[in-house]
Amino acid sequence: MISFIVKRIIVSILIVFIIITLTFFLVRFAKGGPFDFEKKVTPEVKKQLMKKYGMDKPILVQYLKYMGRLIQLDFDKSTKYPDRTVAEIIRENLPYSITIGLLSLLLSVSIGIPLGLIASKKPEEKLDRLLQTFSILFVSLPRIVIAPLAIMFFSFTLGILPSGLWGGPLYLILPVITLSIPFIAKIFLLTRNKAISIRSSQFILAARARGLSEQRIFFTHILKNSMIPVIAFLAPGAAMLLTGSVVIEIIFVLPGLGKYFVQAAFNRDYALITGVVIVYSTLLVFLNMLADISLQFIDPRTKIFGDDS
Amino acid sequence: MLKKTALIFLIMSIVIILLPEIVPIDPNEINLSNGNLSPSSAHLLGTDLKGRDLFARMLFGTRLSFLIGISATFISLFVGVAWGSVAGYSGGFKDAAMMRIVDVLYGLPYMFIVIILMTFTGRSVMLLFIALGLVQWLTMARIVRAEVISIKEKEFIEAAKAIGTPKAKILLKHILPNIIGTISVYATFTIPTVIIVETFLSFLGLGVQPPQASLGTLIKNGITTISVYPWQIIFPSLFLLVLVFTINRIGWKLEKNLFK
Repeated sequence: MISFIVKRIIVSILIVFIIITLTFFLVRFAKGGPFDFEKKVTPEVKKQLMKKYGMDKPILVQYLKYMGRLIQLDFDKSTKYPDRTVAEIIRENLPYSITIGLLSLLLSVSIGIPLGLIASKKPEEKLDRLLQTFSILFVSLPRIVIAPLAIMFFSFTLGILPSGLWGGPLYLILPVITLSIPFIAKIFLLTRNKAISIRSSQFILAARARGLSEQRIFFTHILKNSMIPVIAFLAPGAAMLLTGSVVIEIIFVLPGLGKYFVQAAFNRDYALITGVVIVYSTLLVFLNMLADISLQFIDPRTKIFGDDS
Repeated sequence: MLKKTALIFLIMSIVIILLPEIVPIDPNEINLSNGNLSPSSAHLLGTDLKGRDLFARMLFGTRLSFLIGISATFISLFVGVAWGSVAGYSGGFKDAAMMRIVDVLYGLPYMFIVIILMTFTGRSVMLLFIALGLVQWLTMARIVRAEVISIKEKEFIEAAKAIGTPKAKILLKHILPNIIGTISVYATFTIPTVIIVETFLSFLGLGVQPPQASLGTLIKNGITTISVYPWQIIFPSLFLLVLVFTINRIGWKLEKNLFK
């Protein structure tokens, strides 16, 4: 087990390293630079700017320098916001994105899992069918549709919730619900399908035959095993939440890192793009690792990395 | 049942693809004096800021979104099926190595890479197909691999091997036809996923570029006028919802019939 965890950590660090390198070069080899957009700058000025940001040196030297700084958690300077470092921008905005994401995750799990377990009790009966139809509907609703409709209804028509900007916890309600809706449906479907197949499997029958109470069967067998696909989904799911959060931040005009990322990509703000990608991919790789390790604890038969034939 | 669903899907595709050709309205004709009209008999769903007929734009937009969904799905199908079946059939080290790559890619913040790609390489619709397809092939590869593994030990494959059938022929002629059902179910689910991602990218200004209309760009425009002309957001949202919901429903039905 220990060796598995150590191996998994080493692989994770390697993946993050590859992503950093990939982003660094991908961004820099693409056509267009950070100073090609704003009012035409003269070649001399551009040269000065390039020198200021260390972009006049060979790309390999830049890369090594960047990596050296990164170890000290210095993400370099932003070219679009010269008065702020990338680390500052991340520190100021990441908490908002993380809060929205975590709250959505909690909300989705605490609604999706119980509903899935309830529906699995009587598959294909009234309640289950109703929940299924609703979940397909919710999966079919992109966030860029839910968000404006939610604003229209709750803010314009009813006038009970703020339509955007940041001003306290009340301003989180609509964004979090909007972000969660497709996610609740996904988690519901995963739990429901797994729980149905568990409920009809041989070992549940055997547990009943041994005289275990229904309550015990539910907690030690059904609940535990139904968690497996949900946990496996959490890492790609977190990626979904982070990308979804970009839309939410834009529509609800909230502070957050996702919005900065899109702007940075348009502005060719190399350091900011790379910084955001590093933060997000580290987060995702870490979650992936956590999911793999906890799956290993719940079900030691799970072989990660595809060699489960 | 399978034939019936396939027929429904076919009819739906034909309607979506041909309808814009039949309706005699130019979706890109600008008429500034007719801007932001409410729905009426002349303009069924009203007009946008530049006086373009929104009904025509929605028909064309639905078609473009649908075609993007289909094309990207085909790309993901092609890559995913090839990757998954080779990995599953080869087994051993090759399989482990190939699936490890899939695992690693699965953990990447993929959308962020796509956003970088789209901003930096110009925004052609062609590139959009490829980028979207490349995001979706991973799940397909995993599913196909699992299916291939469950089939490759069956007797008829053993028999084919025994008479010296080449590997490629066994895969194409004997294994793939047997998993076509599973593949088509997941391909059906991929189409709406891609359509949703397209709206996401178009919303960010990275997908379909104006003056071309897609459901994503229409919704994006609708959001800016939401408090004054609510129908400009409601109708494209409704079109999108119906389209995605219908395809998801079809996939759901197929899945139930297949795994009953």
